[in-house]
Amino acid sequence: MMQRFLDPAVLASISSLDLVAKTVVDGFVAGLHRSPTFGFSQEFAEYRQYVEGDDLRHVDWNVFARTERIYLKRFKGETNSQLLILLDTSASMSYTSGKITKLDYARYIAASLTYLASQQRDATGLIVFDDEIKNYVPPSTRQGQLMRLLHAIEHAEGGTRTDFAKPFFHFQQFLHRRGIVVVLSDFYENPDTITKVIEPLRYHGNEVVLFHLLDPNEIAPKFKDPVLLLDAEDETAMEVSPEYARNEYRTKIKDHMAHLSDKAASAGLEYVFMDTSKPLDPALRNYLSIRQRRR
Amino acid sequence: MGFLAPWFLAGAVAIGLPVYVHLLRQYRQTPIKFSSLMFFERRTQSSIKHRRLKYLLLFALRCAFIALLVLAFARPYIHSTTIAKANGGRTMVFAIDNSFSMRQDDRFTRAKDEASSGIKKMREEDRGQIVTFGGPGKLLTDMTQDKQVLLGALASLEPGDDTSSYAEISRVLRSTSESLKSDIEAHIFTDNQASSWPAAFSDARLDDGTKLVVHSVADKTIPNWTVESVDAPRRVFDTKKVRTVATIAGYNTDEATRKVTLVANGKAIETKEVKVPAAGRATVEFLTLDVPYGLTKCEVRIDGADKFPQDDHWYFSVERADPKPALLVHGDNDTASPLYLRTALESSTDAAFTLDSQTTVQSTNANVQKYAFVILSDPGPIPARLEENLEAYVKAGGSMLVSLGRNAVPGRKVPVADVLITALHTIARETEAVQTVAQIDNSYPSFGKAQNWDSVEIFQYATIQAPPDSPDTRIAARLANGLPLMVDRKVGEGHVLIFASAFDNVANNLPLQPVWLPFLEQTTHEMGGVGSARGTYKVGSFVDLRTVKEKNVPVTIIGPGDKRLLTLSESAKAITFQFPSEGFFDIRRDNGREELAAVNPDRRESDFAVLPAETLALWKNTGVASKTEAGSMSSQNKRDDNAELWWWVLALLAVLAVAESVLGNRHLTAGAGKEAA
Repeated sequence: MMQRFLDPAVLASISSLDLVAKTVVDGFVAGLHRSPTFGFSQEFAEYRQYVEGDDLRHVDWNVFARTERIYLKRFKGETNSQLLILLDTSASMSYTSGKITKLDYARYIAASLTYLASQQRDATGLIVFDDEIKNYVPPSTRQGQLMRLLHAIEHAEGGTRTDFAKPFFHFQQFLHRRGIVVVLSDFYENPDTITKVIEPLRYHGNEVVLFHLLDPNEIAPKFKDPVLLLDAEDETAMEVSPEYARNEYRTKIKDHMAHLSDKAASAGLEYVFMDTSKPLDPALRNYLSIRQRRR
Repeated sequence: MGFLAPWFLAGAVAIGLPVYVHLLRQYRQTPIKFSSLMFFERRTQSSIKHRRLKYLLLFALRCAFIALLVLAFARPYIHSTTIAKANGGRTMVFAIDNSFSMRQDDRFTRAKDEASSGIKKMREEDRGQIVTFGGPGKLLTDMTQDKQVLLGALASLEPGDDTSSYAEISRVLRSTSESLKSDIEAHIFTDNQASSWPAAFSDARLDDGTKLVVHSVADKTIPNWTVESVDAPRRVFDTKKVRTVATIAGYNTDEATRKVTLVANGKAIETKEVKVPAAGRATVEFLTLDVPYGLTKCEVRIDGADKFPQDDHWYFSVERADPKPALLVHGDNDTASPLYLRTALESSTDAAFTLDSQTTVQSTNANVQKYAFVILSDPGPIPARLEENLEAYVKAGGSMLVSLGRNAVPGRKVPVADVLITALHTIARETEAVQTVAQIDNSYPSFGKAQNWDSVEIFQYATIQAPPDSPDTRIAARLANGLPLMVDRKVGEGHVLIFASAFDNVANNLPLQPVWLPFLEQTTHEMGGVGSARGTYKVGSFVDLRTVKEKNVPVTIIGPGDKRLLTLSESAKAITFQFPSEGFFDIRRDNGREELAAVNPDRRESDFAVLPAETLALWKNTGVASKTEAGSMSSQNKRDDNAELWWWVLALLAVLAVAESVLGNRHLTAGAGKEAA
């Protein structure tokens, strides 16, 4: 029943992104209660004496009232992770053969992950890029971070072409803490180049997850007649025969996916393929699995 | 094959439209956005080839559609003769002239011999047919390859007494050519009589592909005398007052004196000599015809002394009878009209009627049934009993003539006829012009020979009013002021004739005018049933066997040689009878009415003038020339002979239209699907 709320087609009818995120995560979490494998809670960790410079928001005022000593209440989650979401908004991400574009789908994932992370007090950040960095929200656990992130995600519009090298070089400087880096992209680039650019993130002790988003029509295009295709990124046109699309293209895209998966594995990157017509839960599940591993 | 409207073929340039659309126009396709072409390769040539192949069928259908549309408008046809020619042999028609003139010497025998020779020369693949045209064209055999059938039919042929016509044989040949849809070879065996040639050359026109071969059995024109006609009364009442006039004609003859004999029942009554001018006519008059009571076969003969004795006589028949009584009813004080009427009837050439004159009162109990007709001369009001008798008499088929003079009473109706007398007008000479007869109906029997009414003046007339728009009323004459003078009103089976003035010298001056005698004679003859039957007919003409009243009366016809000419069925049902030959035909009806018809050949057959060779040559050319030169005169016929194909083209066009729609729709749907993708 709850699976229905993870269906992208259903989510597309929800206009507010925070509601989408809430729906997805709540639906997902509700599903987890029935599963013994996964679980999380705001687990109490310890009390620590206040030292100068600590954030007063974490002071346990009840203890202070009783003892007149200032203690900070700390939870396990707080100490754990930082989530950084890299959202590709290149023009190719705007493609769809159905109701929602790849970018929409990426937004849903990003929003859901953000919401999920905020529930767990993970510091969450966002980098929106195409061939350069379009927007950056530093990771934080501050109040209002969730709304900032969601706002940034909502306003991430389709850009021009993808260039991994340039933005990745820049945002490496933002990574001060180790954490989880999620890359949401259709990866229309040579797998070698992708891994070469992303691999350095691993050196900082980050867990990197590549969410490869593809439309069903990109995996198995169905053309009855010869068609004139227009590249969304560089506007070049090409006449394509249905035989080619049926045979050679499918082989090539599968090879590309396999190659990317292999290269990612060899570089210690997590590779997750996402079909935009399928529900979002693999993405959430993957995130939790990695987070669990990191504890 | 050809086209009846070839200029429409210019529309074939419209085929360029699909050619442009499918082959010449650069194909424009709406590009579809795709995320990345990273994994695609350019295969332009292959895809265009594929597209062109795919639309090739649609292209072919569209081209064919336009081509067929143009073809349908151009109206293609196949000439039927091309089909017929596939059969091989010749189609021959042997046309034998068996008209009256072919009886001359051995003309008919020679014609048959030549035809027989022609039939024997037919090849095995040829087919032939025997036709005669001495009178209406007759097909004696079907079109057959069996020579024995043709020879048998030819052997049974006899010369007739009818008239040949080259227009008739041309019509038969045209009809044959049209029905067989093939060229025909017509052999005509005839004596080339110029009199057989039609008045209009186009009547003798032959169809395309008709080859005409004329076998003439008359080399030159021969002189011939004949009795051209005889004018004799149909009925004889007084043998001493009969006038018989015979016309003797000479064709291509020199001046000569001929003996003319009047014969009755085979017995010569009188012989006269007459000088006939060169190639001219002369008349002979016989003033007595002493024949017994009843029907008599009469004949006028000449000593022909020529090579064609068959036309040296003229048959006619007369019927001798006593004059029939007629009733005249007049006013008590009227003495003028009986005088004028009686005198006029007695002065008639045949004196067919005796007049029984009675006053109105005397005629109250008159047996009107025994009279041939009744005249009411200005009777005034008549006794009711007489009116009843007259009404019964007229309704049973009798005839009555009513004149309206000073005794006419305005407001009353004319006896028997439902016609109202509205006024009686007397001309005041001082102030008013005398009325004249302004309009007469020439087709009305009373006015056949009496047409000069200019000098007739009417001083007194009654105004009568017949029921409006009655089909039984016929106005035969009108006065200058437009009022009816003579009205024929049909009552039952009979007629009432109303003359709107009196038969005396007071109301008008008609009895004193020359037109009075023929007017009264014709009127009384019509009323009394005299002269309505003809005595003399031409061979080939028709006679009415029955009147309406004689619908169920059996008729017997005994022809020359005492042969009965009607079968039992024809005897009971036949309405008309066509005289097949010359001679006397006794037509007897079971109700006692008997008629002796004298039948003579048409005297055009007695003229042996030969048709000019130029005319014959022109006639032959109408069939051959038009085929090769496609003359304008025959273009209409040519069209009729052609098998037009446009409806087949149209049917194919409809099929193509459906196929094009289905295929086009399929492509359109696929295109829409692609757009959606």
